[in-house]
Amino acid sequence: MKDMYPKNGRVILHVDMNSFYASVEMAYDPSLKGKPLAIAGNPEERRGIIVTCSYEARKFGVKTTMPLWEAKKLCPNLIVKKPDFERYRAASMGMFELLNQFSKLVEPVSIDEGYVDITDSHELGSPLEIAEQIQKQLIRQLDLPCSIGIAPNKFLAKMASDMKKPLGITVLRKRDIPTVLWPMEAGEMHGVGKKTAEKLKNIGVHTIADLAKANEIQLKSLLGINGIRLKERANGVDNRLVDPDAISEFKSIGNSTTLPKDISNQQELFKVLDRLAEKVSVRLKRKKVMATTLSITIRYKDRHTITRSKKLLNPVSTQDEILKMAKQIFVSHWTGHPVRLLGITGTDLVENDQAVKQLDLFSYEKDAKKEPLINTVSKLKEKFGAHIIEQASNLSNDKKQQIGTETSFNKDFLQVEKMKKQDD
Amino acid sequence: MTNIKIKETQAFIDLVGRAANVASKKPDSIRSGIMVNAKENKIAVRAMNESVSVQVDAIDITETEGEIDFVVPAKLFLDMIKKLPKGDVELVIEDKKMDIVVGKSSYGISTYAVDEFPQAVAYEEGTIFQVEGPTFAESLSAVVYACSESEARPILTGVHILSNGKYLTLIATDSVRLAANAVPIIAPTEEFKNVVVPKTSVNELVTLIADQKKVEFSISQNQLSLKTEGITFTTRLLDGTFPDVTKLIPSEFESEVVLHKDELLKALDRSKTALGPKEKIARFSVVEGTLPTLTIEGKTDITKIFEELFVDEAGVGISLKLNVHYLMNSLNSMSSKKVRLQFGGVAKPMLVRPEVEGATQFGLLLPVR
Repeated sequence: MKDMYPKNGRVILHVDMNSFYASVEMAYDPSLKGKPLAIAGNPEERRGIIVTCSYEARKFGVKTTMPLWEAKKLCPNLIVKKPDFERYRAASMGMFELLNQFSKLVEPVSIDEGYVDITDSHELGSPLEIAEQIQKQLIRQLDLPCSIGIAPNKFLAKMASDMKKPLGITVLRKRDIPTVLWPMEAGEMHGVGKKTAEKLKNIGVHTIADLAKANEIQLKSLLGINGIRLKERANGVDNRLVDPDAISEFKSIGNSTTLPKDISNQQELFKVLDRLAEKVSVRLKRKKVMATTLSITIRYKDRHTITRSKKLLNPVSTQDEILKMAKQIFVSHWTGHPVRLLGITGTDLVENDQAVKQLDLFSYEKDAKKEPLINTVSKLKEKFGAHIIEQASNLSNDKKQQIGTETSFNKDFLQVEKMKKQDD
Repeated sequence: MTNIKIKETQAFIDLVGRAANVASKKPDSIRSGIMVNAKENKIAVRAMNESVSVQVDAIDITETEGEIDFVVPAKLFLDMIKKLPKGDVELVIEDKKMDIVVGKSSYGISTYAVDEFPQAVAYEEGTIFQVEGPTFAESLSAVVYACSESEARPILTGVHILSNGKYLTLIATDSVRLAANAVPIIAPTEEFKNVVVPKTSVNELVTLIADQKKVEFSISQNQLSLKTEGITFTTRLLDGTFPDVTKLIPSEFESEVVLHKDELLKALDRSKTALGPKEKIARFSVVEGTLPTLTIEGKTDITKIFEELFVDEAGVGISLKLNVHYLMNSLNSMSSKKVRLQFGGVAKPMLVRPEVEGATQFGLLLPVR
């Protein structure tokens, strides 16, 4: 099977789930299959925009980020569901778990897409066979459709997965670039947004072929270093590796929530802070980090928004600690006016094992008692690796617990995935 | 219309300055003013803020026809009289304003309503103690840095004063570091504890008594009062019980070193600069050997520091992490040439003591794990 793989170079898959949220809902409730379905942020509230929709709804012209009323006009029979992030996370975890069986090199990009480097997976079959297996197993085990791109690098794999939806498998080799990639419009290229496409048009770059042959100096003055990078990509050059740890390069962890109504009662707002503190705490623990700075975001009724932060003496990760500091910051900056949105963000994150704790005069004796234990643990870790032993409170086997909210939508759900690997 | 003739301009400026120092810094409050009472050859200036009430008196530096009270914004008035041209100064007080007149210069300032100015907090008789002004002032200012900035535990935002009858012990702590000092009492007095003076009052008290040879304090229910020639001062005390820290201060040490304070301070200052504003922690190690040393190591993303200082006496090797800024605060509060660092253990308090006979001062700091 090895001869199906390049002698030099890599084989990268880009697995992209097809209208993921809608597909998950259909997997949970098969009666929705074949019907126009849209997922919209709280349908009855003011945040009613389409988050995603099924292919059946797309036929009517329904698109992501479209206001709900507009979508209903286009497609009166549209079924609208609230997003259930817990469900999507569970499905996402299942998906990445499955991908991990084909290679250790899986890089999650978002909740519904990821790269898999299968260069060393030749024992499992040819690249095409592996892609077919992944697609079939995702359908069989999770009832979720996906499109897969197969290519020698991340960029080409990403472009390839986009070419056939839903349930496509597309191979994009270097030699296919002039015939497949170049005729495409520059705006269709991954990494080229609307604005960049406009700018490119102004210098006569319309297709990817134009971009591949464009003048570097002109590109650089137009788009900076990114211009050079785009030209490389247009020529099929992308040296980025599939990095399973890319996900841990995050800078802050925050949750915010728009309140169902404007609130000016302090006790009620404290309750909201408590819930946010819990969510932030769960996410910090999941990522095994602590926050050394805490910020509070307050948006008032008139949409005036402030963010105030405080540097902490000791990094925090527990709900109680976060709530305590959050209340302090909130109380000293809140004007008393009705609040529309509240948020808590932890920044200056440090990894648990690198977090330092300033000992306290009134509690150091308690810490000192732990000292022999800490020494033993660090010796164990030195000998057997960092994950041989951990504090029970740091283990987040609370997979069921809802993490994040409407606005915390990022990659933290994937952390569970990583942790499981470490436990193995 | 009443005229106050200033006979001793500098003495008058000093007098106003002492009171103005106390006046509230909140600009729109009536407490940002000072109240002046002048009668014949006597003058008294009163000021107060959220914690402190002070009155300073003087004789023969002014001459007034009859008696007059008026309230003016403290800072503005002080700044004005400091800048007056040479010549005889006269204050002319009318219904709602006061004019400062020197030769041909004249400055009018609106006055506040006298009856709105808060009553002075009365001097209260209670437990009495006497101390030397300069010694007490110096000792207080040497510990006040360790007071807590956070209102999380309000009692820690003040300096704890306690007496064993012969000397006073002063303690301040924000629960991460601690500063302690002792001051002899002039005549034996009662034992007392839990007299906690707010940090802000300490600074005002220090400027008032720094040049007073002997000062007598009186402690009553919830205030500390001072009455000495020309000064009446009261401050509220903080509510609550100051924690007993005596049991928390180690008496046995794993290791000790003695070294030059300034040399250490300079090394710390360099380290602080290299570590930048974000990183405050460095590793301190006592290295045994024929030439024992204290090393300081630290790093950030872009810097790396290493200092090696020779020490006079060294105990066994030990290595722990400390907050560089806190250690500097502690050293800066000491005036001795050499200091002794005593390490209780890697997770126990370390002490900083001036290396002089009979020193009563020490700083304490908790390591970082």
